[in-house]
Amino acid sequence: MYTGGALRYQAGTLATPGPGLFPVSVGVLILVASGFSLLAEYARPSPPPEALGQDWWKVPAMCAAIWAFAALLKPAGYLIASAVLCGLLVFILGRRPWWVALGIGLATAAVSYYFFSLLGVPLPAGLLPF
Amino acid sequence: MEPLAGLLKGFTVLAAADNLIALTAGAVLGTVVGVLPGLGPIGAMAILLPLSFQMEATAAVILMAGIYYGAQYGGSTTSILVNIPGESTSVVTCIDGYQMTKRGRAGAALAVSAVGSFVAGTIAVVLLMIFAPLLAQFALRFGAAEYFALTAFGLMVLSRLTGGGLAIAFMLVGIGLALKTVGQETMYGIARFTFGSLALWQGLELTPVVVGLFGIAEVLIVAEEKASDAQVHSVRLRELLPTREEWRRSVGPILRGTAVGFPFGLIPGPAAILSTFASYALERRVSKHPEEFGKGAIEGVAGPESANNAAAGGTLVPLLSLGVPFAPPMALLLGAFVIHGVQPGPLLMREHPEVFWGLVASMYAGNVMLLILNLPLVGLFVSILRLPRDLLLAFIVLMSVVGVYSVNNSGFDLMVMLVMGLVGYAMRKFRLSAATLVLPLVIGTLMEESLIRTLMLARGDVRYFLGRPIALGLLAVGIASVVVPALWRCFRPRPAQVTPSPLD
Repeated sequence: MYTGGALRYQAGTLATPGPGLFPVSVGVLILVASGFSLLAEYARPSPPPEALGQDWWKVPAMCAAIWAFAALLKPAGYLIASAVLCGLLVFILGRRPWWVALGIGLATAAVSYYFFSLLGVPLPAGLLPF
Repeated sequence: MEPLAGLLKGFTVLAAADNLIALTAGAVLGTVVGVLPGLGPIGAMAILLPLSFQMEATAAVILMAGIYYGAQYGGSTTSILVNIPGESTSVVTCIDGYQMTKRGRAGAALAVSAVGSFVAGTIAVVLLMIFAPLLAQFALRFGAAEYFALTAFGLMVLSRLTGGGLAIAFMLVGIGLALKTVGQETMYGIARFTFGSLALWQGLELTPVVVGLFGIAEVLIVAEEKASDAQVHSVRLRELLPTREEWRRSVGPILRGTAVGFPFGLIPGPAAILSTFASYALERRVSKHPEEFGKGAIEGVAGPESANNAAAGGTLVPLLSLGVPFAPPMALLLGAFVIHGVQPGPLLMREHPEVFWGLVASMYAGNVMLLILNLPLVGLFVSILRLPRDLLLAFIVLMSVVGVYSVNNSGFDLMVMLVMGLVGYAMRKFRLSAATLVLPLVIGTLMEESLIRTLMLARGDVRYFLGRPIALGLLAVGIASVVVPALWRCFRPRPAQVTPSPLD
């Protein structure tokens, strides 16, 4: 919270003059508000954040899967990237053996590719010829 | 245009195949995301926003609005049958709705909430049709100063209503505005905060930010919970008929819920959610047998379920007539307008009558459609709750990434979405509302431009505002809404919690 305020402060004052008026005012607003929220926190600590869920490890795992999709999309193409994404997600979220997850991933990729082409969404083909 | 002539035109617009398909898709999707706990209308609207690029403006707006008010119908189903709110606007419905299910009156609860939603939704469209043009007439006189005051007013009231501490809310509003200043500046065309990156030159796209904050964050929250197999009661068509006594007791709450809900829609903030709490409290107060509340009082279902639909209709008024979204889903609807080069606001009805009246007509038809979807076909939607969760979540993520990518064919946008997903996840953990971050992001440009124009017109003289009573009034009300409760708390140490925070 505090670091957020501090970082933004720097950004606010670095603004180019002229068009910088608004960012500077916003920066001041953030600073004042963070100051007050620190005071409030000191006077009456807010309740602690909600506990992580039981399967909290799934959160970073899913992020990794989405990151893999973003990384693979352009070099490898939509079919491969989405097969990886869906396969990984189903594997992470469900209780299925890896080969079922892989199968679901491949099937989803193929069906969704067809569906999105129908809608006219341009998707990179990548390594595969079609 | 006269309302009747306009409406006639609207229905002609609606009769086009594209628009009918968009309406049906919106109503069905809205009900589905309403029924599904976790995924809400904002997430669904965000995910579909990129796909709506391919459509005509009218169809896109009809689709988005349909998802929003459709979700208000669907949310009650899960609340009543499973005791898990399908939507944050149906939290209150759980209290008495599930008790009714336990007593074997699930069908009656479902029917009353569907009919209440229909009545409230339809009355809300009538009111929208009357008030939006009036307000637009009034807003035609608005200049830069008024728009600045209006946006500032919106953000100030919003920060009061979204839960969490006031200072923290202001900090989030500030961060949202700061994010908006990334990219090319509109008045002078100077790049700000791009750190030399070309990707940031365009500024942060709205789509990846909202898909991340609402779509991905929600999926992450749902994913980390242990899978619980919900016990779903199946409903037979015959059971759907409420008794004469139940009807009699529901009429009042439905009408009162409508009357409570619609004005809530006009205030900045999570209107639909707040309206359900207000309606429930009101029903308990006016009831002749308040002891029944919490044990399956049908009034506790009929009132809030009507209120959230009326509020949903009400939130459209400020968006359509002023062009300023006061609630997070309206920010997305504004996105759908702007993408197609249609600017909602005072000139909308004159410049794009087909969009405005098409939308209004679609809401009449949509409410009828939703009544059918949620009464005879309710069993069909309940079976969605039995879908394997992993497949559903994977599907949602796939839709999100493809949608976000397809806007600009940009891998950078995907990264923005992922980061915002994590931010949204963390904010949920700290019980902060993502709306406080998104709304300033949406109206930031309007706010900055109107501020700079005002200052130019005023030549830096603050007294300029004194000659603009509307702007001055809006600013005064906004400041009062922030300062008065704070002073109240200073002089009265007793914590007077008025609205229970619905965001926990």
